[in-house]
Amino acid sequence: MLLGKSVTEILALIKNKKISSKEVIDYFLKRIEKYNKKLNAYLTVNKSYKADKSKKIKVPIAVKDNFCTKGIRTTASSKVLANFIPPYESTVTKRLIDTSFFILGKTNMDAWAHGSSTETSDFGPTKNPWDLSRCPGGSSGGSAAAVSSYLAPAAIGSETAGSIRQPGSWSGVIGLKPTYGRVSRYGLIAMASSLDCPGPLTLTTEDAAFILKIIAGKDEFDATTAPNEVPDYVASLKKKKKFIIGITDEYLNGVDCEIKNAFYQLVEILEKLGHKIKKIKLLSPKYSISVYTIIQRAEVSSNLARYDGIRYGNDRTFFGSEAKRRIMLGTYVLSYGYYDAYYKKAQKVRTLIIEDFKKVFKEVDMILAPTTPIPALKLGEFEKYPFFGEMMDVLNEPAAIAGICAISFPFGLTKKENLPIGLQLMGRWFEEENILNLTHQIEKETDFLGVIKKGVKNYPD
Amino acid sequence: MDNYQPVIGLEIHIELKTSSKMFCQCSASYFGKPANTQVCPVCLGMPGALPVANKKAIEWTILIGKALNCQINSFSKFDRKHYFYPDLPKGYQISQYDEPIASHGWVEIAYKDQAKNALTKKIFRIRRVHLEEDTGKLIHSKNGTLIDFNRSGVPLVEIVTEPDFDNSDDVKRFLEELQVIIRYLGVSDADMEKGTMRMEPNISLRYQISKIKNQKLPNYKVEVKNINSFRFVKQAIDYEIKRQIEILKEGKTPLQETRGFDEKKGITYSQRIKEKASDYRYFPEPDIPPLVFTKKYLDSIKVPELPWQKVERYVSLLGIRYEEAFILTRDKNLADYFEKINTKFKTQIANLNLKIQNPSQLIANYIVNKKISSQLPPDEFINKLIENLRPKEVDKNLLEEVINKVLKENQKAVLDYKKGKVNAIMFLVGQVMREMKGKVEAKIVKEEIEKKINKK
Amino acid sequence: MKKKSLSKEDVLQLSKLAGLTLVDDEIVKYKTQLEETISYIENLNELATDNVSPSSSATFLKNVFFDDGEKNKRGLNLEEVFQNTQNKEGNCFKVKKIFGE
Repeated sequence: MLLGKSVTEILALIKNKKISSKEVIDYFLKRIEKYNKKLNAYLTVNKSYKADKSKKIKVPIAVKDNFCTKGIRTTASSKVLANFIPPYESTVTKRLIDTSFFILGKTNMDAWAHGSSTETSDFGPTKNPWDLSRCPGGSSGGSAAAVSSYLAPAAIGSETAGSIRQPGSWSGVIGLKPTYGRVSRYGLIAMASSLDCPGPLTLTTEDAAFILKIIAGKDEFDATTAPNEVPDYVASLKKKKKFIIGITDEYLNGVDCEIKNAFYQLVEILEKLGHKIKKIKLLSPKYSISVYTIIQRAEVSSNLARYDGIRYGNDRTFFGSEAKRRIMLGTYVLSYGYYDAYYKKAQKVRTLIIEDFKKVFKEVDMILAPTTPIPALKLGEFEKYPFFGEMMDVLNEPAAIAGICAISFPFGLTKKENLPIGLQLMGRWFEEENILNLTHQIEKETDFLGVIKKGVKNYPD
Repeated sequence: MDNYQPVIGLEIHIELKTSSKMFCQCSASYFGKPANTQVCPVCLGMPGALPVANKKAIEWTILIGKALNCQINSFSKFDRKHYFYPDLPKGYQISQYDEPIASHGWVEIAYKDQAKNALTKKIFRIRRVHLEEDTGKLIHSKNGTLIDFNRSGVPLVEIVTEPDFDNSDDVKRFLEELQVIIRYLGVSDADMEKGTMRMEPNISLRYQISKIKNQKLPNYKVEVKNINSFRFVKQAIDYEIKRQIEILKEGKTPLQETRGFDEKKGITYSQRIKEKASDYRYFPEPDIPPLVFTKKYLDSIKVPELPWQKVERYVSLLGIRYEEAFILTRDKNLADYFEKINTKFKTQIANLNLKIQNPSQLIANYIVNKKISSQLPPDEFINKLIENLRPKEVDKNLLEEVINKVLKENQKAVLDYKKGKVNAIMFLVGQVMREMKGKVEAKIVKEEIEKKINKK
Repeated sequence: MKKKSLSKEDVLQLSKLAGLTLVDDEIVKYKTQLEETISYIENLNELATDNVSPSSSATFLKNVFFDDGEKNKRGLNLEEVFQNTQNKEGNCFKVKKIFGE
């Protein structure tokens, strides 16, 4: 009865007394019991649900293990925090709990979110539910896999540059990266503070809109959250808006043929739906890789400085090799005599990238592009790629650096290997409404070519 | 000083007395509180915690900048300063690097030069005033070092001077003036012993070939830490100058280092050699949006009358001597007390039928010389003052009795006077005054004695 | 692409600043990886940025403050303060004895 039901559907069932919150939570706990050993999507499962007297409706949700959850172990998939029990609640999880969610468990990720495969986790990799020999993408790989295999009806991830969209794409679910500052980072274990963005991974566009509405908005504990009003993202899905959509060759260079085909197939559908497609020109994403590498490493080296093992956690010898590598480069680009050449230069190019998007967004409402150049890689394959697979995020980094919003959704499967293909829409700052609206139109028109439903069916009750 | 000229600059830290800490709502008054009871995820540097800046601390830093005649920069930001130390929970201190809130100021000190008996004025330049957070407190115990994070995140203002000082007396005077200014602003207790005012002088010496000004700075600098009184500041600087001259005389250069001050022995000692590791890797704090101040906002932050301005007013408008004006203004409460009495007394004076040349100076004298306690409420002070000024009612009988006694006991003096030794009477007056314990005016005594002797 | 080269001492100095203790293998490994990455990121020099001001983040916010004396909703009790550590003595965190300062 529940298999494949979205958060919104489950909520309706509970409200109409067709099922109780406890039954729903037990159902997912059972599925986790059955499949998690195989997938390693969850690091910690929360079995503490007790129906309270107020009979408040609770829908389960999975949360990436870099959100502090009071009383629930939070590791960021690093041995440094192997036994860390936060004494406080992150704003995102607090807002979820305060409305109608129950934190079902904490999902696996690349350690400290450093990676695009979930293989750098100190607690073993998560497997891609579509092919257990492949990785689910990362760093929110556990969250993406949990939703794809229906071990949770939805999940929270976090993105610095691609960490929601890329695993969403490889695992065949929807991944929404909101505008920087739209969702509070308070309680999110910082990776790169000027880029980090929490966001949902879901089965439907409506769920993405529903969850965003709850977690978005100004937070007194995060000075970088925007005071902009939070619109009713769910209600505005119903408007039949027409958009001008930009496409660019810069985002198709070196992209796998089958993904390119899916892209052009969608372009045709969008035109048929009455949207206008416009060719645009953007700065080459290769500069974004450099800007991202410098800024992210610098901020990582700073954000990981607090882990000295005195007040909590293990000492610095517990850092894995990926974290150490990033700390070293970050320390280098910030050290005396190099700051101007690297960090300051990167911040200047960041301005150019922001300006570049501003210019383009005068001509178009949003940009359509593939989410990743290739479908899911095999476990262990990342090491063969330069920058350890960060190239997999090349199409995600410009939007992250500019701080704009973007959403990735599945669009068909590769014929060769039967793996999900992901496409993305990037919108203007604080125009999540528009990218959600168009994704919803695509969903209604195509059902994402059946990918999400097929994914769930691979994991029967 | 053998042609060696000291070059001294100061770094002063002032802890602000805001209610909340700099970046979280924990209480900032940690003094005497049980360890680690005023902490939260932010000031403990927990994973995921974020800073939000305290508005009042920023306003107060602007106020300090203004009081020190600084330029307040319309754009400012916070930066992260990285180093590892157990009292620094995040592995970085949120501070300000290249865009401090205030810069390019100056402070003037004025003092009576005893030798010349003239007022000397000197100006010392302020390089910058910036805002940062304090660290936790380390407590060294027998078998380890303990850390209390109650102080972690308390707002701290750093004031940096140019290396404009060449002697420890000026440094002491400057610090005393600065302390009074800060206390006038009401932003800190600026207490050296409690550590709410801390200072680190950096000292070096240059060989002065002639009297040419603005010569090159020496190629080393010695910083002295752990000084908790103005007296020790002077001692530490004087000791350092002596120590460095000896090294320079041997043809060597003193090491660039941080030294501690041993107050028992009155000497400095090597703490650590400054090495390349002090590379703080500053970068803009991404968690805190920049500070942008409009002219209107900056104009709305008003500096109260400062101690040196009060001194000038007392001297020029109230006609008080510099010495008393200076003492009265060292403590704002005392200055306020004086002004209250001064205003009230002047309204009463007309009805008193008393001739007073300079009432303000009179009050100042009474307060400064503690003739009447300044603990009294102003009205009581004035009552006592008036009582003191009124001519005394003399007990005529007692006076006559005493005069008779004195004349009897000092026959020789009486005779001398009669013989024409006019001065002899002053001796008799003195004797009477002593017996009367001063409760009578000398003029009256003299008249009475003359009457008595001449009658005889 | 011009290859940037680092000495072993450079890498050791960086690890010291970063608070990391590296073994010999790691020094060699990170030296190569650092050189590779540094060479790549030099591509930013292809872009002229002389008259561009730096962006430290993508928010366009300024002057975000809290009011002094606001209610503290986040204070931790002693149990919460120390629940994740063994380095404790009385009410204090404890580390190996530090000399000097």
